[in-house]
Amino acid sequence: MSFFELVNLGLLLIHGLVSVALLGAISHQCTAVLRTAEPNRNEAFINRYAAVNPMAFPWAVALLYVTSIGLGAVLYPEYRLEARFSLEEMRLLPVVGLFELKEHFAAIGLGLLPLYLSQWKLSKPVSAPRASTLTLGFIVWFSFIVGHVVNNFRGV
Amino acid sequence: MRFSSTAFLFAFCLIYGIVFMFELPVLGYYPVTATWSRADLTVSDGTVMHWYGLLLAALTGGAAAGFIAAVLSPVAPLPKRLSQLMDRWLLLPVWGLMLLMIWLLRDFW
Repeated sequence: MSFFELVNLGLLLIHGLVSVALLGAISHQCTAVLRTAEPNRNEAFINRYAAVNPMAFPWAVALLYVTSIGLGAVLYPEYRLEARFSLEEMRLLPVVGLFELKEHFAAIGLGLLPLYLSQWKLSKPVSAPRASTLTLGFIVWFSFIVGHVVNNFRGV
Repeated sequence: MRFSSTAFLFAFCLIYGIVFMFELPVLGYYPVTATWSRADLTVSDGTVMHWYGLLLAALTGGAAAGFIAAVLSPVAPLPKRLSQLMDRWLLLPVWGLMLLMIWLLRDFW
């Protein structure tokens, strides 16, 4: 394995780890904004999972999102040169298309971040900005699953 | 520093959608030769990636719209009805653009 491949592998691992952290943070926040009852830490798992303060997450989510998309952007040419050509040769066009869609959704999520941050900055716990948080949650989950699936077909 | 995140979002989605749909020339990256160029070098430099240029165009245009809207809003506010409409349908450009992308990439499905 060459030094370049080793660096790419390291970046891919960090990209995956950052994505997992982002997934955890946004999932906690999404369940918290969907909860209508008062948080109670002595209930079932799902209630305990949602019993976090969603106001504590926005900057962490934004930072992890930007880091994740930045690492993805660095790795993208390697995917284009190595993985995509192989996928096309194998006639796995829907897989290629899914990855394209993931890149566009991730970019749209980046466009949503300033609004998401400003809404959380202004919001009170009772009027949490559900729509932007859930939309960002959808984008993060979609990107994570598609990235994982595409990597299973042909990784960089 | 004043900034309108609503104007940023609307401009970002609009620019992203238009540039992608009409294949307007943006900065391209040629990974085979590691070259950045606005010119079409596919014959000499191989495959091209437009995603970076697309993102750059949308971020730059969105940021400009965000600052301009923030500066202009006290002097020339939007009509109340339009402002209410934008607040109500705040995420329409996001979901609209995502659906547009699914449709524009239909050749893959």
